[in-house]
Amino acid sequence: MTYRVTDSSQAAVLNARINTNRARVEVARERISSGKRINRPSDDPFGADAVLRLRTSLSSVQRFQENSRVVKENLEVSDGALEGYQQLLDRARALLTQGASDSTSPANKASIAAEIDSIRQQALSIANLSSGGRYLFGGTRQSSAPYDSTATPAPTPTQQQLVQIEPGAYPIQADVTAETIFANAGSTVFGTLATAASALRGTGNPTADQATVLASIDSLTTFTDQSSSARAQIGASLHGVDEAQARLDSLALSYQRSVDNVESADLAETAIELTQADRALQATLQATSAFGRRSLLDFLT
Amino acid sequence: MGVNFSAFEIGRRALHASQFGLAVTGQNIANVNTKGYTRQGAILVSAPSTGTSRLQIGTGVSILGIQQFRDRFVDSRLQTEIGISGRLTAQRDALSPVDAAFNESDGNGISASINDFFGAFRSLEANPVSIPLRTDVIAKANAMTSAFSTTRARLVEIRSDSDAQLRSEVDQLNVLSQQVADLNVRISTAENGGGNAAELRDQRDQLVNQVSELTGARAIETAEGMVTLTLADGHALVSGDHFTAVQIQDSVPDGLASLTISGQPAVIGDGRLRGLQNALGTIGGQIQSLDDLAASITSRVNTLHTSGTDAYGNTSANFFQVPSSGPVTAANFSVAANIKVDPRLIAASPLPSGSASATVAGAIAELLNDPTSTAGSRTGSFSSIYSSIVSDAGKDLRTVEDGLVTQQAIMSQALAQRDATSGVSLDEEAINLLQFQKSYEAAARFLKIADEMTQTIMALGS
Repeated sequence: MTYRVTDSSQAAVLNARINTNRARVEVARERISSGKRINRPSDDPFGADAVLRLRTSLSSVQRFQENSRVVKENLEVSDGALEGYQQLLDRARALLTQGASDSTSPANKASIAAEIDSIRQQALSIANLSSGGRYLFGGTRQSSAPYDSTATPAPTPTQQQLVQIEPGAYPIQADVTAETIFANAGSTVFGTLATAASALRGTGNPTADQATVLASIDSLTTFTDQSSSARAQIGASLHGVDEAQARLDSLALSYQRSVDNVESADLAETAIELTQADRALQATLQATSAFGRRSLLDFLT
Repeated sequence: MGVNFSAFEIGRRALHASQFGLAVTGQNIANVNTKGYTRQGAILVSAPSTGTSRLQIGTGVSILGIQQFRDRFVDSRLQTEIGISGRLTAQRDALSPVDAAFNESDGNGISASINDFFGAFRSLEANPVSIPLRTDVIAKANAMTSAFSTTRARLVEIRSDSDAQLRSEVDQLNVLSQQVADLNVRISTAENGGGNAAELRDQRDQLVNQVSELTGARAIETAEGMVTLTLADGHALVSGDHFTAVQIQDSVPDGLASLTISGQPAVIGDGRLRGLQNALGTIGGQIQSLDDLAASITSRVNTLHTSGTDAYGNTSANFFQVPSSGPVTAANFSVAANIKVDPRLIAASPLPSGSASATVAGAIAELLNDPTSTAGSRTGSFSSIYSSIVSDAGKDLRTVEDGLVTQQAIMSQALAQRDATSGVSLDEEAINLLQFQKSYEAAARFLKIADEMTQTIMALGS
C-alpha cells in the first residue's frame, strides 16, 4: 500500500483479519468435531450431490442385501423341508414294498396302513409349511394354503414368486410351488398315499389291492424325482443368491468407502489446518495488541 | 523593510492563522474515530501587498476557509462497492437458513426419506403378503410426505422472513431519502450564504452511503451542492429538495412485496434490496422444485400402483392423494386416505412374466433409480433430482459467499483508498500541532520584535 495509512484504516484492516482468521479456526474446529468435511450443502455443493447419490445407491444395495437374505432363508427352509419329505417318501416306499408282499399278515398290513396315513399327514403339513407368514410352497397365491385339511388343492392357480435381489438384474425364482412337487398329472402324493393305505386295509379284492400298492410304489418314485428336481432348482437359486450376496457386499463396501471419501474430513489434515489457523489468529491478535503502541504523540513532550 | 505599523497587522494575522490551524487540527483529532468523517484543513493564502512601490511585500497570511480532503471518484467508487456488498450480504444472510433446511449431512431429511420409502417397497417385493411390511410402506410414505411438507414450510417461512425484511428496509430507504433531501436544502442554503457545511456534508455522505447499501443508487452532485440519487432504471429517489418514496405492493398470488416508484416497477440494481429480491426468487425456485418433485413422485407411483391389484384382489386405486383441484405440491403431498388406514389396499401383485420387475412393489421400488423421471426442468432419478435441488441450493449460497469474500477485499481496499485521502492520521495531526504551535510562537516573537523596534523609534523622539 502506497497510501497514507490512517489510524481508522489500520484498525479496520486488523478487525477484518481477526474475523477472517476466527472464521478459519471455526471451520476447522467444526470439521474436527463432526468428523465431516461437508457439514452443509454450501460447504461443497458438488460433494453434497455426490454424497446424496451415493447414499441412495448404498440404501438400494442394503435393501437388496436384506431381500437376498430373506430369499435365501426361504430357499434353505424349503430345501430342508423337501429333504424331510423325501425321507418320508423313502419310508413309505419301504413300507408299501413290505405291504405288497403276500407273506405280510392282514394285521401287519393294517398297522402299515396306519403308518402310511401318518406319513400322509406329515407330507401334507410339509406342503402347507409357512415361514414368516408365507406359505413356502404357495408361490404367488398366499391367500390360502396349497392344500386344505382334506388335501384338496387350493382352487386358484399360482406361479413361482420372483424377487429382484440385485440392482438392474432380472428377478430370480424365490421359491418352488406345491403344484410342481406334490401333484402329477391330476393326482397328488396325498391321494396316492390314501389309495395305498385303503388298499392295504383291503377292499375285498386282494389281487387288485396288491396291484394298487405296487402301482403306488412306482408313483411315489415319480414324486421323489419331482422333489429332487425341485431341490435342484432351489440349489440353483441358492447358488445365484450366494453369488449376488457376494457382489452386493462388495458393492455396499465400495459405496460406503466412496461416501467416506467424499464426506469425511481427513483428521490429520484438518488437525494441521486447525493448528495453522489458530497460529494465524494468534499472530493477528499479537499484531493488534501492538497497534497504536507507537505514535508521534509519545515523543512530543 | 521599513518599520511601520503594518508589521503588527502581519503578526496579528499570523497569530490568527496559527490559532485557526490549531482549531482545525483539534477538530480532526476529535473526530479520529468518527465514522465517515472527512479530514479538514485550513486554507491559508498569503495576503497580497498593497500600494505600488517596487519594494512592497505582502500583508501576511489570510484564512480563506476550510477544505475537506475528499476525492469524488474514490467516494463514487466506494458507493458502488457498498451497493455490491449490501446485495451480497443480504443475499447471504437470507440464504444461510436455506442451507440448514436442506441439511442432509446427518443422514436424515428428504433424501433419506425417499430412499426409505422406495426401499420399503423393495422389502415388500420379497414378501408381498406381509402386513408388517405393508404397514412399513405406509409409515415410510408418511415420513417422506411429512419431510417434504416440513421442508417446504420451512422454506416458505424463510421466504416470508426475507419478505418482511425487504418491506422494513424499503421503509428505512424512504426515511433516508427524505433525510438526504432535507440535508440537500440545508447544505445548499449554508454554502450559498458563504458558510461552511463540512459537517453536514459528512452526514449526507453517510446517508448516501446507506442508500447505496440498500439500493445501489448512484449519487451525482449538482452545482448548488445538492445530490441527486438515481436507481438503476433512472428513477430519481432524491432530486434536489424533493424525494420520491418507493412503494410496496403485494404481488399475486404469493403475496410477496413488489416495489414500485412513481407508479412504475422499481428496478433495484444492487444493494440489500436487490439481494433480498434475489434471495426471494431463489427460495421461490426451490419451493417450486420441491413441489415439482412431489408431483412427479405422486404421478409415477400412482401410475404403477393403479396397474396392480391389492391384497383383496381388487384393482388398486391411487397410492398418493391427488387433490380434486390444483396441482400436487410438497404441502399437500400425502398418502391416499383409505390406504393410510388399510395396508391391504397397497398393490404388490405380480406383473406378467417377462416384465423387468416381478411385482408392482418391485416396479415401484425400481422408480428410485429410474433416470427418466422429470420434475420441472430437472430430469433424472428421484434421488438425483432431489440431490441436484440440494446441490443447487448449496451452489447458490456458495457463489454468494465466495463473492462476498472477494467483495470484502475490494471493500477494504476502497475504504483504505478513501481513508488515504479523507482519513485522519494522528501522527500527521501531531505534526500539524507542532507546526502551528511553532508558527504561533514565531509570530508572537515577530510581534515582540516589531514592538521593540517601534519602541526604539519612539525613544528617538523623546
